[in-house]
Amino acid sequence: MRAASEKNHQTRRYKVKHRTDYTYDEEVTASYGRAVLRPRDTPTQRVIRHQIEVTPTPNTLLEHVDFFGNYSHYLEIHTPHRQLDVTKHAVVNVATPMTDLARFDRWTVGDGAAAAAAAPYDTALRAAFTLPSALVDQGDAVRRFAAEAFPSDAPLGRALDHLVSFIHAEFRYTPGATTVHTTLPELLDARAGVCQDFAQLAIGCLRAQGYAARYVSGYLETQPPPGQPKLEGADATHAWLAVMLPDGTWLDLDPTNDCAADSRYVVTAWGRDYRDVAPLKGVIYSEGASSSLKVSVDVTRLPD
Amino acid sequence: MGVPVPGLPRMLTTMGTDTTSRPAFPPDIQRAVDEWGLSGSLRRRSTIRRYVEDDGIVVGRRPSGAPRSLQVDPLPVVLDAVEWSALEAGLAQRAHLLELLLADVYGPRHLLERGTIPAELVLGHPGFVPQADGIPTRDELVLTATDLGRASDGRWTVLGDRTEAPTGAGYAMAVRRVTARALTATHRSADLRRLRGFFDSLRGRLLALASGTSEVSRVVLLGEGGDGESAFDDAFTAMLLGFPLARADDLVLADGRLWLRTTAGREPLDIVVRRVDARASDPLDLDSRSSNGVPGLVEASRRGMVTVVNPLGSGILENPALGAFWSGISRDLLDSDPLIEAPQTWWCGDRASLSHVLAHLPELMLSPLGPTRERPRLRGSELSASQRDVLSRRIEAEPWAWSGQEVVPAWLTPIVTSRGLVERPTVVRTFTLGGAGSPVVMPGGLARAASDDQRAGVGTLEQSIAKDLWVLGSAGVKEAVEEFASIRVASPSSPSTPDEASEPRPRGLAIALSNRSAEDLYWFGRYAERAEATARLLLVADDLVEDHLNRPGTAGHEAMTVVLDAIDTLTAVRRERLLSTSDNGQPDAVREPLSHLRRLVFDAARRGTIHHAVSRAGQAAGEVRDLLSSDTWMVLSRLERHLTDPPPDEERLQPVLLSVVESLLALAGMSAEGLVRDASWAFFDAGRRMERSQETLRLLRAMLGQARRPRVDAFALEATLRTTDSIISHRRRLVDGRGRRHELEIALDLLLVDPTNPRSVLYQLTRLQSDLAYVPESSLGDATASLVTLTRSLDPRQLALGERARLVEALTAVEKRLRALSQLLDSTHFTHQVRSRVVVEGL
Repeated sequence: MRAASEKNHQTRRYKVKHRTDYTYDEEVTASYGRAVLRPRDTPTQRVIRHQIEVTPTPNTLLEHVDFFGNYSHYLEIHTPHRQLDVTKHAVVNVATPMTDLARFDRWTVGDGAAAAAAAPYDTALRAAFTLPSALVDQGDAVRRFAAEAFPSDAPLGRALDHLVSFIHAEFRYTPGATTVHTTLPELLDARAGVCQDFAQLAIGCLRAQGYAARYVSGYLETQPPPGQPKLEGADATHAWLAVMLPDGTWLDLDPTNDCAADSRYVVTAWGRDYRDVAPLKGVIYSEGASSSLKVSVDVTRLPD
Repeated sequence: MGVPVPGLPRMLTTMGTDTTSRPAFPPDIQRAVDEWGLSGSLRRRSTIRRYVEDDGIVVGRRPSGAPRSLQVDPLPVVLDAVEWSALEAGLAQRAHLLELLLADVYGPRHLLERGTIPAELVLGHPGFVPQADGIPTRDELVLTATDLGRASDGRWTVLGDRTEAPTGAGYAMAVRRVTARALTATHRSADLRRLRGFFDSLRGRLLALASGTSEVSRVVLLGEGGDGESAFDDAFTAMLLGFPLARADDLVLADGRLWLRTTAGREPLDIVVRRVDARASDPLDLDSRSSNGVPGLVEASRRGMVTVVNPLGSGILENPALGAFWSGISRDLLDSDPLIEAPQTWWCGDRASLSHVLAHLPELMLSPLGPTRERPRLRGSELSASQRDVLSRRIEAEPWAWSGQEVVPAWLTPIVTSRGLVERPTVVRTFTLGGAGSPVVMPGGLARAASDDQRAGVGTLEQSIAKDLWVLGSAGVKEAVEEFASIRVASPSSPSTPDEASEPRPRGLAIALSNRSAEDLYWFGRYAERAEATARLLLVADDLVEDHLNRPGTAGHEAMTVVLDAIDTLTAVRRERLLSTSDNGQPDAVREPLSHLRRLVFDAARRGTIHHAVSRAGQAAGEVRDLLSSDTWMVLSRLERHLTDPPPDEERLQPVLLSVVESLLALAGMSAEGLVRDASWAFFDAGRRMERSQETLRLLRAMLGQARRPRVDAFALEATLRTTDSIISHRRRLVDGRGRRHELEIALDLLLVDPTNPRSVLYQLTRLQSDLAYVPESSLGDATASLVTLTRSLDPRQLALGERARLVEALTAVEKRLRALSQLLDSTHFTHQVRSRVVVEGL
């Protein structure tokens, strides 16, 4: 993994704006939606403000806390419309401390899994994050890959480092190479994908060795090329993973950027895989067949 | 008498004295069975087969796509009161445990935290619905089913539970009805517990789930419909309960409620009896590919806007691996041991159990985690050595996902075969009501026996032979009919007539007709009428062909050609021209009309034939089984029988055609005499009227649209009148001498504008008008009224005397308006006002 930088682990305050805009070719008479957009508090993140705006105004907009502890919104629109706009605003403080992975080298991957499994944690959630899930299967292909990427007899700290770097090195970052339905064996064949694929592959390897690992959705502050201004809407949603360590803490790792998460990572929600935390999905009733989608994300650092 | 006839295998008759197995029947029933002998048994078997067809009891489909009749063995499985009460207590306890277990899993999860059950059994099970976490399930696991086997010492063993959307209760009642009729004397003398009360209790428990938002609960069954494997059970159960059966498209969430789309607008619903899998029931939160779900149902259920029964996620209880923990669950939740046991089970997630299973594969039944419907169990003894190796590796790779179960010897019960009574492996499915109040076990059930000798186990109902389950000892037992003070429910059926065959009276709040049911009733009416019109036309054609085929050049032959051409126009079935000659040297051109007529009767695959129309009528009727009287099935099955086995080529078609017409008249009579005049009847009748008026107009156009020489015209006119069953009226009008009227004028008068002739177009239209009065929609009323005016304005004299082209024009004009009316009805009252659905997923 790339070396961590001290300054990226200091407390930071971010403003996040995430706008999703659907345009339909025909009138939509009814729309049912599920949004997992409101950020959750975590041991390293505090949510200062948050808001969700939907246009047209929904007939129903309800919130609940889901099985994984995320905030989940249900929305229902019965006003005929050709455009649906869901915008999330949030302000969060993030302070993610550095983790010294070498501390975990006293366990092998195999021993560490047993120790982590004994750490106190919700029984059902532990099982949910340890068992295979819809997009993280545990077939032979994944097992073979895991044996190389995250071998059970390696020292745990170094093995975690290797896992992240190995995926980063072996796979090309290629937007469009995969879809939200791509499975791990397909990814292993294609050797290319995006952040969610790499996160899910790492999760597959961790679970194969008996670790609880969860998929994290959120954002990452990006920097414009040196000397250029940051463009509006230039940021993107991001996904990475977290693994439970033998001491019962969770460590966030980002195979897409070959590093551990720091204070630039803003968490929205987590689940077993992408399916549990898709930011927005819906069922619409319309004579039309197509729609176009525009997503823009701005992660702006605020003065502390 | 009283002595078993030779040929009846001894195995049954000696059964009572065999010390290792239990008697199959109590002495009086055994005596009756002995008296039947082989021929009596076989007679009862074929009687029951006919009843099954008459009642339209179907399960799955044949390879041809036609529905498959359920196989039913006439011999019931009989239990006496003592054996039953022990079993009943065990089943009641099990249902109670299942309900507590479900509530815990989607609630506090104490059992997982305490380690009573491993979390993998829940979280790794495909039936677990995390989206349903936190939705209270209290009192909502209303119906569970349990499959049981029986050891030779009489002990019962649980082979599996059905908790997702348990099917079979409807079949149990359907099988009871045919068995009771086929075994009238035995059934009457047996002191038998009745099933009716169970359905009354089920209705009561559903109504008791009122969400509090409305005074009276409205309940709907959500089924898959169409080809779904549980289609019969869904519809029959809906009919027994008196609740409408809907499909996902009939339901919509809006304004904070769930609604049923009906011909009278939206009706609010409170309770959904889910007959589709949880995963399929909401494309928004669950399987997005499902077309059997209602988007937002999970959320509505979380908000308590609607109660889903059985609760979403109840599929996790269908888990063979739970068997390894059942005693612990029972002690944890009830502080007592289970009263009925499952075969010994080893969950492979436990290291010691894994080694036991791997070491004993050939002796065990291996179950992957998940509902057995989707992930069948494997019998270790039936696997080859290499298959066992593969299985071992699969189990070692994911041990938590597997369990092994001790194989219990098959429970054998006698069934009637042509070789005499033969014992076959048998499983019995029992049904238990949970929910508010103590559990109620159906005093009966549905047994199924292996359908052939090859099987070591018993498959699905479709692969098996169904048997009734008789529970004796009704004396002193007050059948469980519950009354709920706060809700107006059925009064218990009068004890003097505990008649299983009686239909439930509509109770509670009547719900208007769903758009889909309206559409199916309408097309049922149209296809039935189309079949009748085609049969009448073919009767006339067959006569003409018989008389005139070999007399080319005569007026009769020419008229025959006119009729055959009219048939081409009306049925749009292409005639096959064969060029070869037949065996007797006659050119096939001569035989061709007859074979064509046969095709028009029997070929179900071709649109336009009688058989096709009858199949479509049956299909449409099947979709609204819950709304039709059971007599309907008798008529439809008879029709299907007439059309399934064509008589040999040399026999005439007349008898078949007459039987077809006769059956269709019976259907018409049934609907006229037996149906309450409500919206269901109105749509069925509207379909018939729409079809008959269009058929008549098209017939007139095809037969009389062209002037021919007088002799031929006369033949064609007569054929038209015979086809429309108006020949007698025509003759009487002709001789009554009111004015000197032309033959054609009288015919047109009779068939177009005579308000008293039930065959006239005007008569159909006025009927249509009164049918549509049940349907609140002003545009329809206006359109029908103007059609009536247009038809009334037709002048038979002018049309008869004028150019035939003008006649065709006039007929076409009315027909066009009729089609427009049908389309209007379609667009205003049928289902496809629901637009196509798109699932969007964004990032």
